[in-house]
Amino acid sequence: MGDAKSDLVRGTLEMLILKALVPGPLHGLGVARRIAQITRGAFDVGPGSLFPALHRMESEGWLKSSWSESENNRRARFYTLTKSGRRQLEHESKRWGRVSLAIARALEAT
Amino acid sequence: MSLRHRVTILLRNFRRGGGADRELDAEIDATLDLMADERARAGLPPDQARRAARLDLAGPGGGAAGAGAIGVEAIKESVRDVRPGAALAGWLADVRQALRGMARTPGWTALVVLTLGVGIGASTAIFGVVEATLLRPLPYPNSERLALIWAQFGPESKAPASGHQLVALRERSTLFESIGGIWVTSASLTGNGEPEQIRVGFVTADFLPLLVERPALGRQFEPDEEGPGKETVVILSHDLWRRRFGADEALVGRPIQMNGQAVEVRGVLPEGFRVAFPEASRVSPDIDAFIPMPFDLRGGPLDVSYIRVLGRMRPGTTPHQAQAEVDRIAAGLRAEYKDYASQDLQFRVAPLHAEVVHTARPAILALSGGVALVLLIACINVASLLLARGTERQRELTMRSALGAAPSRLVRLLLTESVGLAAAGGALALVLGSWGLAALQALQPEGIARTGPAHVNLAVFGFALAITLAAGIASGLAPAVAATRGRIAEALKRGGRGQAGGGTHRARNVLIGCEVALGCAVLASAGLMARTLHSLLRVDPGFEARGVLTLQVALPGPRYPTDHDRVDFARRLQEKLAALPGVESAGMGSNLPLDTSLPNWYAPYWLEGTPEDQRNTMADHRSVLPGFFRSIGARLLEGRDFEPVEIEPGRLVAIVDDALARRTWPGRSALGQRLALETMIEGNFKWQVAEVIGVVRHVQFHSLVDEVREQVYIPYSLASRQQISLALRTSGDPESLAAPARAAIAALDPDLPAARVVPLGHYVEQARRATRFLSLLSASLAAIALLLAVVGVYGVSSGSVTRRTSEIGVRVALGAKNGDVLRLVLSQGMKPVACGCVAGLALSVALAPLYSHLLYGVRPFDPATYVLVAALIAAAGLLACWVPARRAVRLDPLDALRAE
Repeated sequence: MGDAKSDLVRGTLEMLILKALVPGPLHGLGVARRIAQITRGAFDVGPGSLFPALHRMESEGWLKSSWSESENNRRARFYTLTKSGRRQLEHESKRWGRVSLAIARALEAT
Repeated sequence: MSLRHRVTILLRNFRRGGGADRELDAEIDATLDLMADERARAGLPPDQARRAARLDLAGPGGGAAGAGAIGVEAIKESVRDVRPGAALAGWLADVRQALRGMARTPGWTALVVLTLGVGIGASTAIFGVVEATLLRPLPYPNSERLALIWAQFGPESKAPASGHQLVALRERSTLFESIGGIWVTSASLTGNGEPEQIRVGFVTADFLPLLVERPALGRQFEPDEEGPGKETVVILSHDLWRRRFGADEALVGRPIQMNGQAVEVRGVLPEGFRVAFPEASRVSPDIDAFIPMPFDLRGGPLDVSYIRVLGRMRPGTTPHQAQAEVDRIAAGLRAEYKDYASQDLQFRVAPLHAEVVHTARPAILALSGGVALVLLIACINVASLLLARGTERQRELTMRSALGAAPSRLVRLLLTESVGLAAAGGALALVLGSWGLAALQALQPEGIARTGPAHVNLAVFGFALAITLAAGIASGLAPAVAATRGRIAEALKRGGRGQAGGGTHRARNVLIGCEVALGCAVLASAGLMARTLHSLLRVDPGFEARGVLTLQVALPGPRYPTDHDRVDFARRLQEKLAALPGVESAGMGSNLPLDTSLPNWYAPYWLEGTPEDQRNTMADHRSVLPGFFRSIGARLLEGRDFEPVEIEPGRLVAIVDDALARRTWPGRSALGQRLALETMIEGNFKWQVAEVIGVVRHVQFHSLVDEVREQVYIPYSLASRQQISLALRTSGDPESLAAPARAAIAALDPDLPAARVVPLGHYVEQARRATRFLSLLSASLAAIALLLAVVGVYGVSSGSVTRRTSEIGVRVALGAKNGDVLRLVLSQGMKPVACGCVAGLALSVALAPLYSHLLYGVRPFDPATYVLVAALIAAAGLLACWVPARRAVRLDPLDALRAE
């Protein structure tokens, strides 16, 4: 059971990161800020979960990274969505749709 | 995700060492900068902004002072954990860590590696012997189905069979798919070069196919090639073919000169082919040539037993079933033949491999036990050393733990260390082990001599690897658990003072106690083996080997056909040898004491007038010329030696040993008594009655200690065997007589080779070899055990002095004398030694019965040996404690207190 739960949380975080990167490349902090923005502050992703997730997703091939200049002329590592990342987002969104529907029904069913 | 992609990332993570790590550092730094920028934009001064960013990065719960750094490290660690190959990278980091640790303390590392190397090396060497003898199947086709069939009659339990019995077994058995027989004798090779005496096996046609699928060159004997007149072909050993005939492949099909006759070479056996028969069979492993059995097996005498029988059971047949079958066959033979009934003929089936290693097995098992104890001692020593180091490293481990390293991670690190140490020890062990094995091989223990060479093969290597891992884990686990179990806060408090916990110290004391106890047991067994060897050196074999040269001659039948020819030659040879300068006396006999390379000659005898159903006495028979006893230094207890005139045909006299005389005529003189003996006149066995003219002290012909059979000596003319042995007694160096003796033989018959020209002492040495081997080895093991124990005791005692430096300082400052300090340290150090010693003596007494059958001339509970062992252990322990005690005495109290 524990695995299923962490899978759910992990899957959600990964989906949010993928979603955050759809408009264009961002550095790590940018991703965190964008997630906070698109979830209206509901999700405040700390670096302790963000960076491992980014690196894991890069190893999965959903993201690729490169160093470039940030908005205020600092070098930062920017993450870009790959084709496989887009597919994964699509897949995750569908799954999330199913799961949230199922949960909503379960809650209504009382 | 594609494999290529995975590999790319994996490579990137490992390339250029910490390249990926540097990139991660840069990324985290950049993030910190970005966060600091945000704060600065919000109006914070730059330094505060950066500090706030660090706290932010640490996330919730990371608010404690200094936690920022920890948070950053934790993030890095968790990123590293999700990387592909993270497990491998983590392990490599552990390995690097372990190597760094080892390099920091080279002395400690060397001690551990050396301890393990010696322990594992000794185990590996002994295992090499175990593998070669007990584990490795004999190198014959379907060797697991080969079994010897011993004949049993009267008191003889491992007797050869007669030709008639062999034929009966062959024809009546259904559970053996093939049964063959061999009889070993010697022959002379002449033509191309010096005449040479070789060992020849007369074999039935189906004997060699039992042991070898096909010769390396040529063919096997045909199925009908046995019986009179068939001895015109020969199959040579690879060794003889190479040595004598220059590995000439064209030799097959051509004749060579053997015993003065031409025999055709049928084939050459594969290299390394040996006949692995048990020692009791008197079939030597190294036989130079095989010739078809030239005797009429079926029509021969029923009870002339000389053939060693080997059979291959059908697949699925158990030795038990085979035994039941030969029991039925023996019962049938007893019912059909009166002779077999009167001697109560039986057969016994014995699987070949088990029978070959039968004599060596107990010794090898005892050695394995001893070396296992030594390995255990080595492991305990290493565990103790690791514990000591674990104590010193408490602070480091505690720090790691506080920085967030999981306990499992710490255990992994410590285990990596100990396994790494064990691996280094294992590598050293392979070197030491293969040296040791080569040395053991050179000593040629009986088991190896018969089964096959011992060397470091895959099995031995695998064994070394396995015990290396096991030793690494066994010695590392306890310290690892001990190191991680401690509560962090407590350890941190204590760690600052670099002192060991009392618990660890107690654990080390217990370990040392165990080590001393095991060492005691090893030492005691070595002591008992040394006493055994000492007894063997002093045993009276019934002859005096010093100053005697022996040599052997085989008189070829075709050239010395009659009794007169052989007696005349032997006599003239003896006279010629006796006349050599430096020779005090020359003797001739059919056998030499303790020479087990030739078939033994034993036969029934009885007191004249014994009823037929009570004729069940058996004695070794030797035919000799006058002077034999004097030459080998045997002692006549009563009566006299043969007179030269008693060598004339028809003189029926005999000399018996004291064992026979005592048993047959208790309390009476043997002289003048009359015995019915089996003589051999012109090649035919004949019962004759001889008068006893002397009693000689029993001569040990078989082993130094076992009185195997009673003995009867008759004049050479009553049994002029082809194989004769000569003994030359001199006051000088017997070896110096070798060349003149050979020349004397060549002068009489240039085609007659002298074989095994060696001092009589050579055979005595050979008889002691097994015991010498055992005692040498157990002494080496004991030395290792003692050394390891000393190192262990020293380590603990020295650690204890270090731990209590300040306490000792206080004591000295308060007026303790040197003697008090010395007494304190010694009594502390000797406590585990004393406990271990007591336990060890109990352990030795418990273990002694397990190897008591290897002992001779000493009781397994010999008090002197145990007292000596205890004294030795105590002395070694004192020595090991003395050094740290001296250091404690020399402590300057001020320095000692400052160490606080």
